[in-house]
Amino acid sequence: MKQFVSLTKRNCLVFLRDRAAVFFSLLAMLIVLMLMGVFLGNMNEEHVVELLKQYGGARDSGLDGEHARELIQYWTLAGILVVNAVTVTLSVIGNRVADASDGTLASMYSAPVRRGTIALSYMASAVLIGIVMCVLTFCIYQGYIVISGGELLESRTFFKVFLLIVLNVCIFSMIMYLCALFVKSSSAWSGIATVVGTLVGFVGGIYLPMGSLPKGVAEVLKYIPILHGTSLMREACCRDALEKTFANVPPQLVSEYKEYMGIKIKMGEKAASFPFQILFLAGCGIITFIIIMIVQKKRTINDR
Amino acid sequence: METAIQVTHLKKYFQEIKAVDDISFSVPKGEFFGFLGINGAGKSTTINMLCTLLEPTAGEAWLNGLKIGKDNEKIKKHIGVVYQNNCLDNLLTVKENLMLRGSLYEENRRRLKENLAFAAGILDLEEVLDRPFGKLSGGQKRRCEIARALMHTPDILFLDEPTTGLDPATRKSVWQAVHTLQKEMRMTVFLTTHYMEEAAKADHIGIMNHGKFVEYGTPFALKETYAKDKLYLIPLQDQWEHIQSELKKRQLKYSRREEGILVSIENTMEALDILDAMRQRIQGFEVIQGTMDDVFLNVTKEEGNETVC
Repeated sequence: MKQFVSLTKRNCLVFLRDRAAVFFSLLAMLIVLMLMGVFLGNMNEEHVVELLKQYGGARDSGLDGEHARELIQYWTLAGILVVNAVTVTLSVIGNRVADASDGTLASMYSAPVRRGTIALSYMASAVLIGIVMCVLTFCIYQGYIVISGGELLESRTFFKVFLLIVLNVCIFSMIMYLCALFVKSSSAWSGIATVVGTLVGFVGGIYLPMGSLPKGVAEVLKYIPILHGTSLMREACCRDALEKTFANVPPQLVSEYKEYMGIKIKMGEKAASFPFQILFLAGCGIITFIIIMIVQKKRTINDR
Repeated sequence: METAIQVTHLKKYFQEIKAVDDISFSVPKGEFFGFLGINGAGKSTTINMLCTLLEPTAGEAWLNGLKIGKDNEKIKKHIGVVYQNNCLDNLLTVKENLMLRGSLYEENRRRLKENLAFAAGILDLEEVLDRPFGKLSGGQKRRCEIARALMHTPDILFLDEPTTGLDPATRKSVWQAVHTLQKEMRMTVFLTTHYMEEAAKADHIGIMNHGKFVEYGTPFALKETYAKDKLYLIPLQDQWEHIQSELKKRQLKYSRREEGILVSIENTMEALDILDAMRQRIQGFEVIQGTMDDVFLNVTKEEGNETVC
């Protein structure tokens, strides 16, 4: 256990001591938040207001606008929390690739530590740093939402968001670790980081609402974990804002809106339930873990 | 004499490539063993097998009586390995690096601190303990790497080309530290190097070539067998032909150089006889003693351009 703690501490320190890398990964996240607010926020807010206008006379359009802004802010926050879970874990797991290519991993293997412990320490450090960065992102953006007139999430909702952060970060740490087992150099890994960083927002239906994607693409995306991770996070973050915004509106409209925005994912005819999505994500995690164990077992250092 | 390393018919094949092909040797406890060979001869593969990083294709090896493949976890506690590349973390301080790596072997924090003090003391690292590893000079980094390998006071220290790329003064300081360890702690040191003057200080030397263990002996014995002394003659202007025909007559190997003639001789005393005969025909001479470089080149069949007459 002490070896595991030491190795995890070492991996965390190696990442955190690179202050520029930490600063820029936080900055990148804030820039994405800002860009989404500036370029896409208005479009999404107007869409909500337009929808609500159908129920005209009885509604206060000023209040609808405010609610719509808050709803979209929470929707954006949920998406960014998932993007973070992917990009931060990818960045931390990059240590494993660097260690394998510069011989550090071999020096660890010659110590009396089980290889599984070393593998777990890489994933654990990615989980820890991923959680810290996501919580930091959450706090910063929650502060911004409150300053711009929105309401704080309830503590129960915050707890649920925290658990979802942990779930997402754990799964993506494992997926990233599995990828790292097949990458030989740090430059190849940074290439992958660029590709993933670009794709993740689109593949996860994070930058654009699911409903605006081509139908075929949306169907395929339903079978990858990131979309369900985002959907669960959005459902938690947006629950209160949705209730406020769509008060006195037919439930059919709300469920259509949820589907359009990727808050709910329809699998076949029915919307995927909360337990189904949790099980789907957990299943992806377990399968990834099993593959990691198989690959690690086969991957003795006999490979030249 | 107790044996630290015993290798019997060890093989490692990578598909058709026979990286290590049926080698056997042993290293007594407390000995400084030099393991030589050209690049790709199979030295690192052998070290990786002895360090339990690679599984042998066939054959057996024991370290301190523990069998590789069967007692790997126990073996790891007895060995320290210094690789050619630095594998400590640049952004962590030397102390953090050594404590974190040491904790993989020793859980008791007090003993860990004692080990750190010992390793830092013997390698003269006290002053740089709080500096980031990445900011150290090449020599300091190498000493830190050796300290890392010593954090658990191993019985056997493997050094895989530990001084490659260092300047002569730094190499000397690293070697002083290694010799102190070997002499004072009776630690078995297993060294691979390309610097023959380093290998010349070993108790015994083993040479690998194309995966085979081709020669074994003390540096002195190997020099006696493979490194002939040489006599360098600088002929007077008009005496070149005469000297060469005299050498041919004596059936001596020689090669013609720009300013003189290099003659292979059996021993230094033979030079006296030649010099006596050529005294009137030369303007200068030098007796060159055989070196480990000659041993290495002769054993690995790399030496050329010598004329046999």
